Amino acid sequence: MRLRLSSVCVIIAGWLGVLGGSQAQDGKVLHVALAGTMEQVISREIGPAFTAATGYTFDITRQSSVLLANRIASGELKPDVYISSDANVMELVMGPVNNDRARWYLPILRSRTVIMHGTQSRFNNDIEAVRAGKLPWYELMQRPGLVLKRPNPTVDSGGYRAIFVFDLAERFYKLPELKQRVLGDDNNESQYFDRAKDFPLIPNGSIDVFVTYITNPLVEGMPFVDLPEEIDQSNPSMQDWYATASYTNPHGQTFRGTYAAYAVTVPVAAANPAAAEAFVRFLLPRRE
Amino acid sequence: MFERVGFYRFKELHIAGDESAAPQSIRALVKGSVCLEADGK
Repeated sequence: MRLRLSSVCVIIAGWLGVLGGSQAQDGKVLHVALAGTMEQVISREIGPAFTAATGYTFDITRQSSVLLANRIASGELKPDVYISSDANVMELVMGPVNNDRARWYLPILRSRTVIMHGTQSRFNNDIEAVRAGKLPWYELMQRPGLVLKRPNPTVDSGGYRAIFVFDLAERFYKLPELKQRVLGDDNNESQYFDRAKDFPLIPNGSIDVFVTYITNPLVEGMPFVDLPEEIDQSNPSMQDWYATASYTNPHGQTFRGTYAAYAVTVPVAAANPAAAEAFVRFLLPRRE
Repeated sequence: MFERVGFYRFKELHIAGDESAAPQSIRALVKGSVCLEADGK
């Protein structure tokens, strides 16, 4: 087994093309700022493989994408690599108004929005009816007493995408005021999801549904209900439709609907640009 | 790895912003990127 792992590492190091040999012994650290939904796959899978191939270990700053972008733009945070949960958030670190902290970015992965839930919800029968196609998902969302949570849209791309879900739905299904009925105000803090406090409340049914990226239920091993692609913001060919939704946060930053895409950049101030470059290549699909 | 937690690859990759500012090795990979993975759900 050890021989096999070594062989894999040699192959990966060869593919990387740079970084190896003496650098692998130097104990160097790559500082990666990333969206929370990206953390597990980076810290548990991709990161260790990159470390095995190059010797670089990771210093990960995990936070909401908009918060990270604002910290990078201000100069307070200077990561080697920044991975955002929304490609459009990259615009917050680009251009003179944002101090030209990055000049390019690469959308690397697509995602989508789903409805995560537990198995102890009082609305389990309705949830299963939605899953079976016997009840429209937006009817479940309007059930009196349903406890719905969503990420904070002022700092989290998953938060404004949850708003887009209901904005798109009220026009797609011709259900005026659907968003207002389900969410109240866009910035309704009572619905904001607090990861530490609220995750345990989903399995026990205290929280009925959480509107979020699909990565959250998959990482947590929780069930979820799919949304139609007109609503889940997954389909690049529906870009024009998604773009009819928008959200402006209290800081005056406006986010327009797009298909959901994670993106990566190496900021101008990266302390380890060569390692950062190698890591970005490491994220891309291997070509035979 | 990414697919296991719900991410999907693009069929083709495109650099946004100032492409000339991106490292040459990344530009080269992106230009040649037509992923083998399906671009669907």
